[in-house]
Amino acid sequence: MGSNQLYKGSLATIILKLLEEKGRMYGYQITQEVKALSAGEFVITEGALYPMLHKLEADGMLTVETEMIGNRMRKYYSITHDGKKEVVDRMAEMEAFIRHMQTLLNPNIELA
Amino acid sequence: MRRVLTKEEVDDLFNFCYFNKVPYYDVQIEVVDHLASAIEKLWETNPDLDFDNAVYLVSQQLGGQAGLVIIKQEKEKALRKEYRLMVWRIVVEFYRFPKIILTAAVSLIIFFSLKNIQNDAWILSPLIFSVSAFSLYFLYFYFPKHIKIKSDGAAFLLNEVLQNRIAYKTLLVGGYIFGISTRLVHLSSVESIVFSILFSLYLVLLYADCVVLPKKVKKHFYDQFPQFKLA
Repeated sequence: MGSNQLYKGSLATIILKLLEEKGRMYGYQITQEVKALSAGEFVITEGALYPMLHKLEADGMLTVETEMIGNRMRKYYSITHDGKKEVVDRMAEMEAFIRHMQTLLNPNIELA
Repeated sequence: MRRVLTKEEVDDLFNFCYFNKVPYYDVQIEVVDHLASAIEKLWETNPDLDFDNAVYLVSQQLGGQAGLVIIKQEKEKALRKEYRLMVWRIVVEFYRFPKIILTAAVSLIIFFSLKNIQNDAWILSPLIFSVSAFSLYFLYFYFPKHIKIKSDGAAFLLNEVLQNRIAYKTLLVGGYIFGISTRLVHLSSVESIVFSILFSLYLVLLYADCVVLPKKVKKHFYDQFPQFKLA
């Protein structure tokens, strides 16, 4: 539960990175993939996932296509060129953030 | 054998969305697929679970009716932002070379007309009347007939957001300009310049909202849902 709060702020980065690596994905697939990758540690709630997907789509980071799967239609998300550029920036920010947090919380590590 | 949803069960999920305050087909598609995928996953471990109970269980994961409404509201917000960005890009084009020549020419024509014709009302009245008549015609006749995406009575959120945007822009802003212009029938030079610039901006916005934006939105929609183009 506590760790979910930490992940929340990184939801957009997680989605973009996942789509960059896996290609096109649909909403439910993203939730399952994140759950599997984090060994159940991080569960994306649908109430957070879809608004974020729609926001990233509005920002031009993602494109959408639909396909008929069995008896129903499915919406697939893919990362755009702008989205890929955003992933690079966000990953660099994330790495810097982790480094700074380590320095702040464990100053001895840097001194060692 | 892996249990999957029947056509009737998928239809029931669309009805479920409708009765839980998500009446728009373009939002329902995603929610229905999510619920259906989660139900099928549930059936992998519990194949005897009946459909109604499965719907209840997975909809609770979505946060029940409140969760569905949040998804709809956030989608609405994202669409408004997307349209705003599209219009902004069009407006910027009209204030850059070469289109700025046209924008400047319209402003100058309005300005010199206001300067050279003694009674400003002679200029303002036809301008306001034309824009108001166009707005009403566009909103109540042209939009429903030529722009609104229709399919078997399904409602689309992107129609609602687009129509509301145009209604707000054309009627409210147009009405505001009308209100100002009826008070300012004898404009000073500075007022004439400001009015000319603002009115040409209003025309650019009207063009972006009524002509360019609907085309882009329709193209975007048919790119995402090609099956509706064929229907």
